[in-house]
Amino acid sequence: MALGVVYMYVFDHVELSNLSLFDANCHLGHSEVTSMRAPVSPLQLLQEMDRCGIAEALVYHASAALYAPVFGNNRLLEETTGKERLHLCWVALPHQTREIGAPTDFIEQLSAAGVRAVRMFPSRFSFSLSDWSIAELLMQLDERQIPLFLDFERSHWAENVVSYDEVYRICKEYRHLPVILVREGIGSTRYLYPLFEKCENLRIEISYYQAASGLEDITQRFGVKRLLFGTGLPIYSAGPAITMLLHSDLSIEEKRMIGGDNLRELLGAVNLEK
Amino acid sequence: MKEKQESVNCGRRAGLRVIDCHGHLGRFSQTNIAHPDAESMLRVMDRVGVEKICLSAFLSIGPDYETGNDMVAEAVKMHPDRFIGYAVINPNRAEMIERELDRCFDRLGMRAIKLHPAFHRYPVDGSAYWRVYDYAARRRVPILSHEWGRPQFLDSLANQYPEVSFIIAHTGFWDGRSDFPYAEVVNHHENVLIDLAYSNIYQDALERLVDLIGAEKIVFGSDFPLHDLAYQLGRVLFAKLSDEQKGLIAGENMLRVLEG
Repeated sequence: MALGVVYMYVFDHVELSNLSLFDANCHLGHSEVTSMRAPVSPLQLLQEMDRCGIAEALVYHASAALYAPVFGNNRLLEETTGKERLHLCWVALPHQTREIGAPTDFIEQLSAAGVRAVRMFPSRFSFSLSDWSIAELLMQLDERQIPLFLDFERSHWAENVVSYDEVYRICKEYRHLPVILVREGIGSTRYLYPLFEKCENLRIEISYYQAASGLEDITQRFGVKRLLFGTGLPIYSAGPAITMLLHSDLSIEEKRMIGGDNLRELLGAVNLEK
Repeated sequence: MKEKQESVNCGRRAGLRVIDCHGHLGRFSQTNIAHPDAESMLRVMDRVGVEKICLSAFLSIGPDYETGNDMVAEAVKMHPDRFIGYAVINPNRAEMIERELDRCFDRLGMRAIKLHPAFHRYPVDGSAYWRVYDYAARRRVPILSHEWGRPQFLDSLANQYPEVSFIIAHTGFWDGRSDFPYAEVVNHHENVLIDLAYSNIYQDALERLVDLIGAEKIVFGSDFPLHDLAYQLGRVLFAKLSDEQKGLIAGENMLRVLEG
């Protein structure tokens, strides 16, 4: 992987390559707020990943998140053909409105496409995470250990946008389901620590989690597997999360796990054959 | 215990002098800060490669500016080459302003003033703050404010007090898309600068800011230890800017402001 010239003088090539970064939080396609300069195409995204020293990325499509899941999930498949460094994440909804297939059909389609992660936007799509709404799909994901990324579209750390009671319940009821909260911020700490204490299957993606010494504190208290590197590209800059991880007071092994191996392990544990 | 990676010092390795214009000290009600003390902060600064940080205490911009100013003074006294103190007053206790500022600058070793109109719930153009602006002009010290209200107000201040450097905090909020509201006033006045500290760091926004106002008018700020120091510095280090531009933003501009 070619590292951009910009970075060669800031970070040692070996240090970044050693982390083998795997971005758990980025998307393809324009959102409502991306400019013409934003790296939204697969080629542009890969170029920015090269510039920043990111080896791989788990991507969803903006039009799946902001328009319609099936429409965007199909675009994701089309646009990522042959792009081996981009791994697929589909956006899902409760099935009852028939905007996506019944849970068994959805899982079948997902398996056929080689998708190994699912992302939900409960606020954007106005649905409930309660069992009366989403249990059938969560059972399918749980059975196959397909990681579930929950995105409440936090725009500032002081916002209280996450249904932490629902997160707790899901973690407790679906114990094989890896639950990953994205864009958690410094204002979430007093929610997250009790949840980490009680829910072993809960993780956070760190693109916005900039609590000072936060990576070290969570690693020490709850284990390094609770943290997944992410950037928020193409809306947010990749540099901050990379710099935070690289400069954290963690061992090389711990940085590698947060930087990519934790996500690789999660995706590797997915059992699509069931 | 696994072996720790050799300390990576991005600031020094990049040949940058990193001077952080926007730091704090102590605890903060809205979140837990794992290590809020000066010695812990210093260890992080060493690891990240930050030479100096300008501090105000969260206690000062909250309920008790006197004790907060004392906390900052203690940190500055212990590490005068690393910590630079902001004097903080509360405009709701206007009659105490000059006395506290005298105490800060004559006895506690402060070198600049920090205002927080939002937490103190007092308008930045209110009469109490004019006492601060007069004082800053007499002592020729810079002012960092959480906000400055309308650009027109800052324009009038910068005209009236050319000897004071006015720093606009948190302009990292700008996402690079719409018009940057302070572009005109920053471009028009040598004594108006912007600080980058903000939680969201948007792709290409810093590069656009440099296009609009030039690297000479931007100073690095982090809000550390509310925000992770390295995370905030990553905005500058990874920007698509020249080494010279990064050097100005990372520290040279703030050094110039502090040296008057």
